[in-house]
Amino acid sequence: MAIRVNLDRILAERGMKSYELAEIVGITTANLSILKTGKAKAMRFSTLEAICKALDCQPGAILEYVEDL
Amino acid sequence: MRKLVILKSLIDFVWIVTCIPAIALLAFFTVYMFIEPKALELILNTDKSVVAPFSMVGQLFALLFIALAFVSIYCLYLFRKTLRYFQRVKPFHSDVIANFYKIGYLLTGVGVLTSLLVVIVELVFKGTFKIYLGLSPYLMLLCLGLFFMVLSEVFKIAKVAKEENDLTV
Repeated sequence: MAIRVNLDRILAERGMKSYELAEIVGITTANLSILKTGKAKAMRFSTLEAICKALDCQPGAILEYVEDL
Repeated sequence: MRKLVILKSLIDFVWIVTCIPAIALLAFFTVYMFIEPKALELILNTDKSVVAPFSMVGQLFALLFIALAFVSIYCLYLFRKTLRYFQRVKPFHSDVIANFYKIGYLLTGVGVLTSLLVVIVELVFKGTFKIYLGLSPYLMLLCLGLFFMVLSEVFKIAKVAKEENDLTV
C-alpha cells in the first residue's frame, strides 16, 4: 500500500499504548493493528479525526505517501 | 434464516429421494441397454421398429442422454454443497463462487447439448425436423446456466466489496 500509517512512532513519542489509543478512538485493537500493519484498504474521516484528536497531531503526521517500487 | 432452511430441506429431499435412486437406475440402464437394445425405446421415445436398425446409434444417443443426466445430478450436488456454506454464514467463500460458475457452465452445456440431441434424435429416428420455439425446457436450462455464471461474477464483486469494507478502519 502506498500510504503508510506511522502510528508506532507517534505512540512512542506520546508514551501511549496501542490498546489505550484504540479505546480512546473507539475501535478494536484488531482494527488498530490492521491500520498499523498497512493492511487497511480505507480509513473513515471520523476515525482519522478521532486519532488526530487523541494524539494531538495533524493527519500528515500519521499518514505518509511512499511510492511503490 | 427460515427460507434457507426450507430450501436446504427441499434440496436434500430431492437429492435423497430422486437423485440417489436415479444414479443407481441410470448406471443400471447404461449396462442394460447393451444387453437388451429394446430398452432404448424408453429413452429415445420411439418404437422398436425404428430403433432396431439403428441400435448402435441409439445406444450412443442414449449414452449421451445418460451422461447429461449425470451432469445435471452433479449440478444439484454442487448446489447442495453451496447451500451448506450459506448455512455456515460464509456466502462469499471462494468455493461458493467457483461452485456457482461450475453449475453455470455445466447447466449451459446440458441445455445446449440436450436441445441439439433432441433435434438430432427426432431427425434420425422419427424423420421429422422440429425446433421448439418459445418456452422450452432446454432454453430455460440454458438461461438458468447463464444466470448462475452471472451470479458467480456478482458474488465475486460482492466478495471484493466485503473485503474492502472489512479492511476499512
